[in-house]
Amino acid sequence: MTWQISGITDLLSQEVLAGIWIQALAERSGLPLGHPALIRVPAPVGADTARVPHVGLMGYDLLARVDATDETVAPTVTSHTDASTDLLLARYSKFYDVSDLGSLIDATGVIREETFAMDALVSCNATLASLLTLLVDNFATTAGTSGVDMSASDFLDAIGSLQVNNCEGPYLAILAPIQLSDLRKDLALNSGGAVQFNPGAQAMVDAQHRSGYQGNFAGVDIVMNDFVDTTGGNRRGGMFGRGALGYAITRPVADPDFPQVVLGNECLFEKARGYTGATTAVTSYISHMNVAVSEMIDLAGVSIITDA
Amino acid sequence: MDAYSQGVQGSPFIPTEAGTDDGEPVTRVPPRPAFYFKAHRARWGIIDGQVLPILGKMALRAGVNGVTSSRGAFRTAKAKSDASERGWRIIPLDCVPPAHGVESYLYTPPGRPDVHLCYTDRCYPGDARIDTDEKMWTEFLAHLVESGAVDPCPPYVLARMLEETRKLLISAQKDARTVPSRQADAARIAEDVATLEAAASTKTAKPVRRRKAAVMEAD
Repeated sequence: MTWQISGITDLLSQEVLAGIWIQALAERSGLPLGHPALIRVPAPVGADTARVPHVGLMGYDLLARVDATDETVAPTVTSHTDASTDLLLARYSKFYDVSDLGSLIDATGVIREETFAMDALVSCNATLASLLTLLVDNFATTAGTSGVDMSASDFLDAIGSLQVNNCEGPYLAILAPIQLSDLRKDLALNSGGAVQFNPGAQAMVDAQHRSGYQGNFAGVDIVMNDFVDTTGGNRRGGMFGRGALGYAITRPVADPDFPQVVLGNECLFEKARGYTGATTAVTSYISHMNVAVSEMIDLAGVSIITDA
Repeated sequence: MDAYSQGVQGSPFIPTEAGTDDGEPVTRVPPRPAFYFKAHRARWGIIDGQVLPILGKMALRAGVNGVTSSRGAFRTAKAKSDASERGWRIIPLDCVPPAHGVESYLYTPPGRPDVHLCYTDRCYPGDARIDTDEKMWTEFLAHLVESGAVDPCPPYVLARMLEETRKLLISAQKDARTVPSRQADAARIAEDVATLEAAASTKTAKPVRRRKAAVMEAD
């Protein structure tokens, strides 16, 4: 990032600052990571792989009838059913440089380490959301029609498919903005008001689910994210239950010898003088995150593919 | 020798002036990682009157679905193996119709090395949306089937799609009697049914030889 050298110094020295700042438009939503449909896989410090076993227990195999009249007959042994998913972690990082002059005479409060710390945490969440969003087009089961706007019928089809696959709820849907817009339009224009989003006070309670949360329809929580894939003129959102997707983040460790701090248990935030060169009048703010995301049980999710 | 020729020599200098025009802005499409297309035997749809695969993507991004990277290069063996176990087939980058004149189905728009799109996608300066050349996309998908990169739609998938689409048609035709906006849906779904019926008529499932199940009855 280079705005501190030419752009912002020009602004500070030549313009009268308004004293406020506004955010440039971008997809910066996180996902409701505490939602039961999303699994956070524990990954200890230093781990580069986290393995999740898929176990066929707790009712997976039913008991077989054994001859009631002959107690010497032994049941046949039941084979264990198991599989696993490996999450391979990778480091994601970014850093900003900030000029001394910019920091010194900033009147807007933007050029402060607190701002960059907040940015680091929000960016980590948005990065994780962008990675998880990549996965919702990975399911073999699909709903929706290529080239046709999303409808309530597609949404209900996705629920039906998950139920047919014995996937437990509650479900979470990640939709592209245009998919959500089309769904809302279909509900308003074609359902005659027979079905509704959660209205009024309930919506205010639901608003605590972080940014991106759009409400609950037919028992499914919906989040909107613009990182949802676009291919062949279609957006490719999805709906899934517990077991479909997992993510792992290793907790970073701050070195007390350096100005580092761990934010939100997942992001290492560091302030360094002259990160790009000790002779420059620049301070760097660096953030790192070790993360992995993976599809786990394919039948626990449905890709919703509709017109872009 | 005159006085001027004794002066120091120099090289031509043309100053660069900042203008009001910074050139054409780059596209505002959000970052998209490089990817391989992949096809699954169960993912088919009706596109432009044909039964064609609904492709997925294997994102080439470290940390996603088993992809890792080392010194700038992706390691995808595990991710490809996992995808294969789940019934996906990875489409090679160069599997494009020769008539389209591209070497790979991936490209990055100018000034945005973080955006990777299919060659049939179109993005615009200063704009965040992606459009698709529908005709090229359909030709690309048809080429995948014709070239053998993707196996044809299995008869059981066709039969399932036909059954589902017929149900949709009945519902839409019923609605269309009272809701005018559903008439267009009914017409579109009727075309889809016709497409599926035509496809199904050319494919018949091979009879499966079934083992007899023995049932023991008490005397």
